[in-house]
Amino acid sequence: MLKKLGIRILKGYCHPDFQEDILGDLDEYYQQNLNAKGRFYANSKFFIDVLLLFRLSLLRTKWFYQNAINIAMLHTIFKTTLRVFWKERGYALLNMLGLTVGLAASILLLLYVESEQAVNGFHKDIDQLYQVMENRTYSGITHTNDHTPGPLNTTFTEDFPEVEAMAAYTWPYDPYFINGDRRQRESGRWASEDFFQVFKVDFIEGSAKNALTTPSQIYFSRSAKERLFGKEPALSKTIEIDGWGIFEVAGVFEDVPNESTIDFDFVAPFLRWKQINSWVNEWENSGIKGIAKLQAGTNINEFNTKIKGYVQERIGAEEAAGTLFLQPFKERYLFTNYENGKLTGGRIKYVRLFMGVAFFILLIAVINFINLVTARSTKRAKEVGVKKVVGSTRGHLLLQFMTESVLLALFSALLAGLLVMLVIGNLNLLVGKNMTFSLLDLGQSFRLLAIGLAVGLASGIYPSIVLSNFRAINVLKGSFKTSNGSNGLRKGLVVFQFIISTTLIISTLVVQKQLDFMENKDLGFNKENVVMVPLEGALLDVNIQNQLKSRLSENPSFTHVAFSGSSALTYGTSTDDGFTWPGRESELRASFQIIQTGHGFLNTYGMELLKGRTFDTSLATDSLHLIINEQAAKIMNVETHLDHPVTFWGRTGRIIGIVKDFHFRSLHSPIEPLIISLRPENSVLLNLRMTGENSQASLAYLKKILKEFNPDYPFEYTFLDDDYEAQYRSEMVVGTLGNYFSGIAIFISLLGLFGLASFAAEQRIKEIGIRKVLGAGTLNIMLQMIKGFLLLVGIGFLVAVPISYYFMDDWLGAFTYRTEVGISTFLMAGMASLLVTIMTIGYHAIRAANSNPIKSLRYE
Amino acid sequence: MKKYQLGEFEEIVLLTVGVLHGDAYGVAIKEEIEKRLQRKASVGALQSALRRMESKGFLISELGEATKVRGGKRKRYFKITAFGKEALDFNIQTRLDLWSEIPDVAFKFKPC
Repeated sequence: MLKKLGIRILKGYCHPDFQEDILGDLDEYYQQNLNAKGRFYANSKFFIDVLLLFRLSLLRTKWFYQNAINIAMLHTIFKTTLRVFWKERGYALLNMLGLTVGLAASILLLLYVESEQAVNGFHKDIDQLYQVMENRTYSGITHTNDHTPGPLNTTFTEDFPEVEAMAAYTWPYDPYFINGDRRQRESGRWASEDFFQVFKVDFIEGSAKNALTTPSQIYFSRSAKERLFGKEPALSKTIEIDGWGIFEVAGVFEDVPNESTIDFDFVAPFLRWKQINSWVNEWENSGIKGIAKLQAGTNINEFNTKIKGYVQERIGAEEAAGTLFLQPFKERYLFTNYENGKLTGGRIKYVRLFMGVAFFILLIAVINFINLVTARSTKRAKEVGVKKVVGSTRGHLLLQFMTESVLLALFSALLAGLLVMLVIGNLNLLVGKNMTFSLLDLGQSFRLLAIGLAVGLASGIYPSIVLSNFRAINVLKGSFKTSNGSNGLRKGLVVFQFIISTTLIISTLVVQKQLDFMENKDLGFNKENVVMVPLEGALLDVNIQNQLKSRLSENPSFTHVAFSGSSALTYGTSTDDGFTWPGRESELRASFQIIQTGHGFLNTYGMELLKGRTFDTSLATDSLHLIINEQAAKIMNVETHLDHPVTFWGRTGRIIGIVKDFHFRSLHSPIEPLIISLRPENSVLLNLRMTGENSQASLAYLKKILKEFNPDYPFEYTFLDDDYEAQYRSEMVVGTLGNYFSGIAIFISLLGLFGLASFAAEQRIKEIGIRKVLGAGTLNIMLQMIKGFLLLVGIGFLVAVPISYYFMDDWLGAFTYRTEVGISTFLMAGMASLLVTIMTIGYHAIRAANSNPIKSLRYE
Repeated sequence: MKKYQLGEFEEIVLLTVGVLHGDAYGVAIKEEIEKRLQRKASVGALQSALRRMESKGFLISELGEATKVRGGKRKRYFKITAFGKEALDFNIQTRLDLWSEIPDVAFKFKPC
């Protein structure tokens, strides 16, 4: 075997004159060695000798010579390529511009997609972490959320051997921390004992051992510790949490990256929190969140079937109990939407969308390349013919054309890399991420190169085959025309490009339309000029609230002042059978949202009262009565709602008013039944309606008054309309990104069109000359030029309409309150693409129409 | 000088070819060198030296008769040319001259 290989190698390089005797000599040794030392030695010796025989004086003389030809060929190819680029620099530039912009856009999108997919991925043992989710069914509709019954975290580990650790934790909580003079707001969670077993953070001080078992101990992230204690170690130091008393620092852990669905700068013991929130000890009450760490290799589907009836067993079957299931924590970021108990997606939709957009933008750029090269193939035909006559093989020609496209693509990739480095900061600002890209990063530049290479090969392969296929005899005879086939293909590709870019444009318009719709939707209250201030410290006292209210009312710029337990957009709590009335059917399952307010809430928000009256300051009994919304009235299903007796959380009174339905949640979901109860003692929020004139001065006044009442706390406020918009942040990001990238798509498509138009003008120069001689007007010729292209764009538009309608109607389906796709959107997109097409081609059309026929015809 | 350029290994090969007159082919030369000088000579080094000297004109070669051994492949026999002899003479003469020029004192190895 080795011997045969050796012979083959020797024959490959050795001068044929010497082969026979040297092989003979080697054979003779081989026989000697075979007899003396065995087959293996003989074989390997033979092979080694062959390798050692690779000497200059024994080589084929042609061996060198042949390679020199190949190297010279490569050199020529390279040189021709550069010359072609230079000669047709306009087209090369068009191509490169398209490829560069396309590549840069796709890379940006892919970086975004990648960073979205990486969220949550950094947690240790991420594949074993699961969020405990709960399904609850009200009036036939299943609602899914991450609320779990309070006692779950203690029983879950005992009842199921698969559960390694289970932690309960609260929603983010951001109190003031007081360390001497320092007052600092930090956001964190109350969490049960297993928390650090589930989320394995790296401890800098202290350890996870016995963590969270003492009610008065607290754990900080490194950055929070530095804000509160400075650089020196904080272990065993004490700190006060505003409203909670003194805590001892038991540990400091390394910061948890932002790219997670759970964030915490401090972790305080759940035990302490439970002392105040005893409702959490009841199985009926869901509210806190739960996260479980399962044993590696647990089958999640089997486990989910196992825990289906778990809560029912605990509280008895006739009660309304939720059904638990686990969702992999890794998916908690991208898969968030449940519809009637079924997972329907979430951000993953946008991730997939952007991946698609990245691919299609690249495709448009590749098509540009193919079109421009095949269109200009007649120009290269003579070159191909001559080369073939002189003896070039098809392989050589293929190599040449492929080199051209790959070189162009690689160069564009380099430019695209620079462009990405330039604009990634802006994209980060836009989407609120921290992505990085650098050509100096080996991994990233390697991938860029790979993409460039792939694009080069993909765009080069078809034109290369077409060009190298030309038959020398046809080409050189002089009557050569490109086939109708490639012409048709080119038209098809242009149509395809415009299908993609028009679809993108229509989609973006629809997204914009929905955003506008949400912006201008009548919410049932007036969201402008409402300021909200959280109540803390001294302001939690009802008497002081009343003093504050009268002080603020002195200033005419505050037209309404109200305290409440939540704003009109956020609501903390809901109840099912905490709200009853005579005639409530026992099997009725419903969830009523609750807003607890002081006086003047409805007026502050500008909500419309349909029937009855609002709470009256002069009537002390009003704290027993309720105001409900239309949805709640519908569910109650009684003849006259007003003055109907009701009981809510231990207080029995009457319904005194019905408020018109207003949107207190995002427009994704329908308006839910709501009860408004007068409980000023639970207020945590100050709501102010301002006149809107000179709001800076009003805010300054507000700050001054608040400082008087509450000197230890900084002045913090939010505007209601900002809060409203924050709910649609991901839609707005999609809207803005969509704007940019559909713009890029149409830009690249137009580049291609521009190139094709200029080529067509060049091709038809004689035809136009003859037309002019025969008396055709400028307009006539321009029309002739534009007609063909408009047809292509028109077909593209017609195909794009149903496609984009299908996708956008689906997208709008995620909103309960939505706009329609609408004919006007299509008309707008159609007009826009028509206009830009005419503008793009118009330049060449005008030039062609104004050209002097003498110049174009003088050689005939 | 340049005319007769001869490396050390080349000189040995050239001499051995002379010694083996009429029977000087690859394997025989290699074995003879290994026997006399008690050192290994690789096929590659030997063959390249032979071809190099052939192209310089110190050696000529011809193919012998085909035999059954060696897989029917012919041997290539080398012979020294007159020019090769001149080169050898020159080499040996220059060395002898140098040797005789060394003064006697140089070989007195008494401790000083």
